Amino acid sequence: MLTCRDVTESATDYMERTLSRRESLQVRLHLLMCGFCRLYIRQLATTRDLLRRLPRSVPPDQDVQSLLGAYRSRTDEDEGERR
Amino acid sequence: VNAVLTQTPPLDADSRPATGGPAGDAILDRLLSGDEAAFSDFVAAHHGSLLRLARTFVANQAAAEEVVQETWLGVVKGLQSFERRSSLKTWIFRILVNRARTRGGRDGRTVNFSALENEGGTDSLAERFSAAGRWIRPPALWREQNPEDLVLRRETAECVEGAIASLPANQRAVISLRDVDGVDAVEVCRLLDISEANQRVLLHRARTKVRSILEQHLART
Repeated sequence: MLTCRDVTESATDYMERTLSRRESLQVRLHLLMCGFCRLYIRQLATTRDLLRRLPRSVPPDQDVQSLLGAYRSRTDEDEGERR
Repeated sequence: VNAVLTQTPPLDADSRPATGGPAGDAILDRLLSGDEAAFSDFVAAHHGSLLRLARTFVANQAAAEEVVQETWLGVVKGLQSFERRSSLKTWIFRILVNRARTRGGRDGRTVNFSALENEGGTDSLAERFSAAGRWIRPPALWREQNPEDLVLRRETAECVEGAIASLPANQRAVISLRDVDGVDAVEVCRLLDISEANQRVLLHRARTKVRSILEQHLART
């Protein structure tokens, strides 16, 4: 039988589906019986989903402007070569 | 119960722009045609990810910003010769990693991404179990469970950012790439030059730590 500690240690592998069929089954059996571990796994999944949804940070305008300058001159060069 | 038992599926709704597959091709075509608005959007979409990853290789924020800027210049230069064998996003991350490694090396800072020891602090969960491995201090209920609602609160997003920043560099790199940027495991191993087993351990430790920090932030009192 897996303990709660075992389940938390296998939690990422369980979510990543890298456990063997047998190991995965053992985790599922434990989860059926243990509300705390279900809560734990759900919170870990929420954590992952939250990370995926983090708002983007905005780059400083001057950086974007200088990159745009580089992009513009590069595009112009390529156009020139094509002509 | 079922949601947990059937394992949580990957996210469908992706808040970040796709840069692989057909959508990625469309963006690439616009970038190649000199579409400045597309370029600005593209920079804005990936800037934070690049900065976060760069920061794991170099000594300080200023160096990371320089590496990101260099990376974009490399992207501008290389765009015309980009071969569509990898996704655009992966290609950019690779440019970044190369430059960041070089810069980190020059500054005398080399991160061993495979190192699993000396990460500071013990397992954040260890003291929450009895000797028999049962919960003594079980997970606290959170005020809010829905990630979509959670992420809208600025203080929660800041808490997560702070949690990532508090991780050792190798864990930070893995969780940023995997969970924030949605890069798949195989590609993360290639980028960071680590084994899959290593990648999983680092991801596990990182998620465990971020969950613990979130728990403190969100626990119902």
